[in-house]
Amino acid sequence: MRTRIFLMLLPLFFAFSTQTASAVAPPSVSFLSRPTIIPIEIIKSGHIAIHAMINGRGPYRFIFDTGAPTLLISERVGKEAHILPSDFRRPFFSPLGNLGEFSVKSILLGRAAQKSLSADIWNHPTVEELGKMFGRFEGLIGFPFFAHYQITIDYKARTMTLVPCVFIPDDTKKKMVNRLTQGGSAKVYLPSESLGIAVTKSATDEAAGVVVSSVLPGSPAEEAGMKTGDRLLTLDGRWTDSVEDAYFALTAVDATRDVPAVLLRDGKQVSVQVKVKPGI
Amino acid sequence: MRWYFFCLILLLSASLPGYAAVPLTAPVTASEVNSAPATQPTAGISVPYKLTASNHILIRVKINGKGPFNFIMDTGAPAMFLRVPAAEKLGLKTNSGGLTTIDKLEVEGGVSLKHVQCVVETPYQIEGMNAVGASGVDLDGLMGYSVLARFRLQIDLSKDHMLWTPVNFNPPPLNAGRAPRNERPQTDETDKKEANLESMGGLMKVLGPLVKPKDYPSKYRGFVGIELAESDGKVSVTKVLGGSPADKAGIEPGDVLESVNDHNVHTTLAAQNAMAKTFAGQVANLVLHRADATMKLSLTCTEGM
Repeated sequence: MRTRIFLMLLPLFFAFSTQTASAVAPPSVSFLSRPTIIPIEIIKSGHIAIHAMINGRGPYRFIFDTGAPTLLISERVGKEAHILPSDFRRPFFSPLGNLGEFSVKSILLGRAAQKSLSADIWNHPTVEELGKMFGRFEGLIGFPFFAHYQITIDYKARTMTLVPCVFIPDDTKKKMVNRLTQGGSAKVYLPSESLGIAVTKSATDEAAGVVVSSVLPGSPAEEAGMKTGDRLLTLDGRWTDSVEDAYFALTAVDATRDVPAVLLRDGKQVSVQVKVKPGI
Repeated sequence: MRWYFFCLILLLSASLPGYAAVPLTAPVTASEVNSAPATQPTAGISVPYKLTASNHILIRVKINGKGPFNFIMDTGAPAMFLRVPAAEKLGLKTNSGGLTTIDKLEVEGGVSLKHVQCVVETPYQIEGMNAVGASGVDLDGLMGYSVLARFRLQIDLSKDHMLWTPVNFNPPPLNAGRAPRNERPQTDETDKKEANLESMGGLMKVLGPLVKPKDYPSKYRGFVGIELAESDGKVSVTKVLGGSPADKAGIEPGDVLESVNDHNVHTTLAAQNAMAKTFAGQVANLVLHRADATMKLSLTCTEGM
């Protein structure tokens, strides 16, 4: 009996252990997820080829592309997998062959499934050209799919591991149109932690880092051993080559632990650990 | 205007497999793969990134100690591509095939590589996106297979870092880059379509200035010089930093912060947010309690973090 209970609990432990690796979920929510490991093919051009089921059809061969902010699917699969409506007529105007955006019911890579994603149905010239040399491709799997997963790409082992993560991607096209119609805006940095220093950088200063122009007595920075005149090179692993970089790095710090900083003092690099504190 | 967005979307969706028509890498033979030394257990490197306005993964690199340069992490690019103007500024010499070798390549977070081959070329997608400010930053290149393949890459957009673990795998050296489109024969229909697509980059460059969102300088919250803690809905001062505006105004540890800029505050975050529009040189209005006394202070914020 005990063994049976243990065996029943085992998958749970497994699920939890994979979840700790992807973390970030708020504590009140527990996500039970198993990783999917799929083989990848590295074609001679260095691209990653994978197989995906589209609307239950396939598998079809795609290029996995972290640089693609959209999904692209060929016209052939658009028809075969019923992404295009049965009465679909090619529009009179389809620039470069792009037939427009359509909803895909499901995309499946190994066990990793996403439902209701938008994809452009398009025989993309470059994808076609690649296909002629390395075997047919039916499009690109990009951001709208992979954003839902913690993805581990191992070029050497030729595998890709997918574990669902807690990230809700926004629509690339809407985001772009908003940016262009509403214009840019000024960023205001509101770090929640404080160091107790001021940093500067003159316009002609092209060296790495920013100059620490003051370190206040009693501050976390002073306790960590930072000194006026030091150059701050990195904060929490991020380069601080401009005042903005420094504020960005501070705004992004993981305050649950000591924050590493690298300083340049008298030509030597000095590493310190800062216990940042909430403040204004 | 709609048509204009359409061009942009074509460019975006075209990102970024465009550089593959001629394989840039020499064929990998089985023996080459097998001869790679066994993987040593190596610690992963935390590589910070930002997701751009165009939903690209942006990493920063330094080339021969100069930079940082903005790169898109792109498994759809066969190699590292660097924009021509950036390469010229760095004084990188290219061979007849448009390749250069970078002595030292660093990626933010602690990746450092020596003697890295790189294609010096301005991808049309980068040219187009920069012209309209599509990604919110100026892009300098693409980081593709020839560099990425040396790592096991863990990408999780719910975190602000990736994990790059060296895997002791050296991708084959690059062959010469390919000739610019206009110097290549257009052999068939696909080629012509691709040429049309590439021309979008130039088109966007012309149209870009008409719609490129204006860039505003970034701002930083003004500095008061107090550390805060919250309990039972009260925000109290735990420390006053020497010489700060708070110190000069007479704030002491133990004082309870009641309001900031006329906003009652019950959490540290609320106190910080109430300061969101108070920059260095501007006045912050604070109300504090000490014992039974109430103090209303107006203090001028300094620069600081």
